Amino acid sequence: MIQRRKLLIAVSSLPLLTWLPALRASELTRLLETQPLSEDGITISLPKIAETGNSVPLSISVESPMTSEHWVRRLHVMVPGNPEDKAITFTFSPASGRAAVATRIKLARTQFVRAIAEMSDGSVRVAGASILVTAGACVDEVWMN
Amino acid sequence: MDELKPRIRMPQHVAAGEVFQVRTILPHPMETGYRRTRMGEKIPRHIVVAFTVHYNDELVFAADIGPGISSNPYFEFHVRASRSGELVFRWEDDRGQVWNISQKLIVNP
Repeated sequence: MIQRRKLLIAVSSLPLLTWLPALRASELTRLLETQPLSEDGITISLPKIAETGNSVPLSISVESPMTSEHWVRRLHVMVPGNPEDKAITFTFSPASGRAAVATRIKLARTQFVRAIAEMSDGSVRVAGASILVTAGACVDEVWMN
Repeated sequence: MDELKPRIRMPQHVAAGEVFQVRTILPHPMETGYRRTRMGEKIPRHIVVAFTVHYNDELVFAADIGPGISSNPYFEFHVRASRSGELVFRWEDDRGQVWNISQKLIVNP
């Protein structure tokens, strides 16, 4: 078990949290404050350096048998260094078979990307990874007529 | 033309109970709304906001998508095979445009 207090301080310093459409500050805080947290059984895979923040491969895997007794309900990807700090929320069902996803994300700058998984029993797992972004997304000029 | 259609990569034949991987990609600019032209004008947001996957009419996977996902959104995920049937993939963007594609699945008992 990790120190909940440390994580709460880290999470509460996330900027712009209050206008996330789907997972609001209160929901996220409540999730992290009231549920048991673990760093086990979740892995995040992200390159250590990205030359460009436009398309960074990300994969996350949460260990679970994915049955109706125990499955991963949702998985949130937080990108606190971006203008909007939630990149995506994945929703699974036991029929997913495996809670392992991959996608490509945009990163505005060097930051610490976090994955937060909500399990069917209410527990929460967190994993994170730092990434150094050389040229951030959304900062290049666009040549348009 | 075919270039604006979503593409799916998944097996056609699987064994019952097998967990298989699905890969999907949709051509889409995923314009965040934070970029500006050289003249300083804001480029309006245009992003996919939702992705759902139904397996024989049951929701098996979904994504609630923000501007932090790269252009031509790409997803890899998994499905456990139960009965033969169909997977239906649906994307919706913030301008109400919807893309639907389905893929048949044959499950050997």
